[in-house]
Amino acid sequence: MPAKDDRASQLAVKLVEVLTAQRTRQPDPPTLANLAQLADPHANEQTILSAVRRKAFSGQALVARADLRAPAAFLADLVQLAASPALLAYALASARTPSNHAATPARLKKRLTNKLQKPFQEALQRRIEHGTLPPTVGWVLANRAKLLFLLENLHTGRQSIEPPSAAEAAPPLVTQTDFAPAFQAAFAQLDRQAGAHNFVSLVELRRALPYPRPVFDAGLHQLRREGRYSLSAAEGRHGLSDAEREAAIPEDGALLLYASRKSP
Amino acid sequence: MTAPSDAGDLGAFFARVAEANPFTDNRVNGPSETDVDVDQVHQAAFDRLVDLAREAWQEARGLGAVLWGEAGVGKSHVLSRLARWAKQDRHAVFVYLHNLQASPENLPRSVLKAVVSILTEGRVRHFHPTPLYRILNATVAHALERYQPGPPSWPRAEAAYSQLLDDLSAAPSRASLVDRTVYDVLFHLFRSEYEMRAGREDGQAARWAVRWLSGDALDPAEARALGLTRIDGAERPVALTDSQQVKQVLVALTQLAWFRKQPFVLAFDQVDNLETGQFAALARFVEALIDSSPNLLVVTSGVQATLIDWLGAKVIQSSAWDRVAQFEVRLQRVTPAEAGHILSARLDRFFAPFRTLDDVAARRHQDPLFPLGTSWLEAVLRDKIEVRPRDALNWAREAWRREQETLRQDGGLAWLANWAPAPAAADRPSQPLTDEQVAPVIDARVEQKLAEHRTARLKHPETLPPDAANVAGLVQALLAEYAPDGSRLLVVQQPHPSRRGRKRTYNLVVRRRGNPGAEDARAGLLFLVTPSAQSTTRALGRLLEDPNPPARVLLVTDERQPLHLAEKGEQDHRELLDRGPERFRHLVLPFARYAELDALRATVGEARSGDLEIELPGGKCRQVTEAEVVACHHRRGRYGGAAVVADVLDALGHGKVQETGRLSTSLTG
Repeated sequence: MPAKDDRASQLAVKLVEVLTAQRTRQPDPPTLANLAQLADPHANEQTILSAVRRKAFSGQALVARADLRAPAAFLADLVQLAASPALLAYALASARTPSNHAATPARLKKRLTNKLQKPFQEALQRRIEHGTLPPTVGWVLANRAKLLFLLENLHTGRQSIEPPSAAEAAPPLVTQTDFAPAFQAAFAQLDRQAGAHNFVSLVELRRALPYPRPVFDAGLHQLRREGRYSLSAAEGRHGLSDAEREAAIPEDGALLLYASRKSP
Repeated sequence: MTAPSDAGDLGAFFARVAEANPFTDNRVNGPSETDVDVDQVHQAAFDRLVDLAREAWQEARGLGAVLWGEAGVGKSHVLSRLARWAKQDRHAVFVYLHNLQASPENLPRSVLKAVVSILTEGRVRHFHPTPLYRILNATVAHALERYQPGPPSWPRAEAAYSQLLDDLSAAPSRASLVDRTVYDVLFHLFRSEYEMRAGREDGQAARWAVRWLSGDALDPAEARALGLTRIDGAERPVALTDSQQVKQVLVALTQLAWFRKQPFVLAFDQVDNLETGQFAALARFVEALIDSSPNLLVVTSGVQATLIDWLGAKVIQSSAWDRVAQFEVRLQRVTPAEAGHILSARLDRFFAPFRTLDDVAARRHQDPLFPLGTSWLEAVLRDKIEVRPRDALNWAREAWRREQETLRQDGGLAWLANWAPAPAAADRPSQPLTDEQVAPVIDARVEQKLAEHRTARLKHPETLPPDAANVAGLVQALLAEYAPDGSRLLVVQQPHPSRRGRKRTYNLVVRRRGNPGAEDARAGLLFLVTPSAQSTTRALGRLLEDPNPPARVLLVTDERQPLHLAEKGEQDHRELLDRGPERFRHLVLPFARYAELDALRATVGEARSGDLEIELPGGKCRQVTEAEVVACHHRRGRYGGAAVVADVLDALGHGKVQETGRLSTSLTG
């Protein structure tokens, strides 16, 4: 049985390998927990945190903070990590307490490892100045300080607004005659790429078929009516990204996100 | 011919309509003989699974199928139908497992324990009415008929059984999969039980055999009686050595079922609510099991989006997935017509006791969907292309409730006399609820689900056998929910000690971080569920010999498996008790409390799978999240009131434990 030191060192190497594999696959930086799960699902927290301090890892990569939920990246990608919405979301979540849901950029940066603090604060200032904060984050001026917060923590008196249903949507802008074959082809290709599980996200389908939304929704509605495709709700354990929410079709209080060929 | 209705009969009918809603249950918690089922709904998926089960038997091979779809689409209903099919005319041996809690390394053993418990119907003696005995009986009968025809005798049966095993091992590819030790113990079980029924012995060997087959340790004398010895020859407890031998027992059981011409179907429901490490371990084990079994269909059921996410994230290796999900059976939303059939079936069941009431029969003749009304259904489904069965049940529940209101307002006779098919009522405005308003709704729903899960386990205790690994997993998970990230409570699972063959002293060590400069408070938990006196003595000895014991040690046993103490064990136990309740406590977990622990986790798992919903004012439903269930458990003090968990928190002086928290019986000196 390897000693603790050996286990941490071995894990450090594996973490770098997984990070390398994830670098091209995932647009968002992975969390340390994600990396560890893929590298060694049995590693405990102590070993993981010890591993990221090892030269084998820290010589090439960094974690935003000694925390399993913190995002990680290669040192070469430090600037991208500093500017990423994932890091901002992490910093906000990390700084959030039951009695305080907002923080200044200066306070947020202190939640991060030293190497990241300066580039993070600079990137955040740019986002604030250019109005390019992620859609889930807002800021407000209070006593001349800019306080950032997650919009989910904003309390208002408004009711939530549901997107319009397909029937209420604007009329199609272009003909639908070519939609069905295009949809079938795109579905077949995307399904094949994803392992042929007959389960394709509308995010991918909308990307592959750049029809105006009303045309896409009406075309898909027709395919469902003809019994050729079925939709199912987005109910994975991993929550929904903004892109998924945007692509889904609301129906009966659920967001339908995945298309499947109809079973006989 | 129907009888004329009288006021008395109608009174019972009106009371039933007013009090009960046939659409309240919108999910099943496990296989049931009394489900309201509609054959044509998901028939293709069900037929596919039946075909695969038959193929597993006909081709004498192992097959894996994944049954997936979104929450509320009917996966558990299909498994329940499969269970009924298996039972009907003894088509198959069917084992349904869900809410597995053991840690990844203990999962195979925990699965075996649950399988054997279900096949022996939770019995500790008198096994002859159980499925396990029946498949053994069929195997021995087959062997006798084939190899030793003529008047049966034990020598002939033994010889025939041995020849059968020779034949099974003859194919080079199968030789390593026929573990003679396992088959010999199975034969001991059969013989001992058979002889006990004939009044010629006490059936003790059968009991030992079942224990060993379940993964429990036997004392050396017990093991010798079954012909079992340790490889190292040591005079120590004998148990299945590793996951490989655990697998070999399951492989043998599927082989025995083959001789009874029954496919062996093993169903894992709601796997998407497992932790990823658990699922990875389960998939690896199932892959090996499928590869080795001569007559097995494993059905793995869960939410497709989660399973595909895990596949993409390599939680499960492609090779394992290819075997576990060799056949994909997808459940999709049903057509509006099928949704109508589901509602009709519920109404048929509801009205069955009242079919002789003329006035009621007349209404049903007028409109088969009375009191919802065919026009109501048409209006509800008019624009629908496909429907989630659970949604259809929710809409019907709300419509029924409206009828209940009318009945209460107008009185039963007026309601029945004036009833007319009505179009669907417009949705009542759905008022958004504040956190304060929604909490009691969630609390009531979770309370109801807890009661359902608890009742199901109490009705079928064999589905939750005494199992140290499972209780340890439950307690660990509940403590993690009680004290999430950032809390001062830290749960640490004891790693395997480095010395080869040396068992761990504790299943869990729970540490409460102290203030800076202060020492952490530690509690060590040992879950001891074994009928082996020697194993018990060794475990207690490890507690006594621990050079650096936690300040508090909790020994947890299951009331169904009392501590079996020989002289030395008695002495050690006494010595531990003499340390005083501040340092050592022995907790006996009553089964009802165990079922409560299980229910606490099951409700969290249901929320994870998207299977837990609340109804908002106006009749709309929304899912309850995992975090909301955990918050509900906190709000209602359920963690502080849960058996063992409460004792751990108390031992660490963590928070105020409610008085109801002492739910495990504590044995003191």
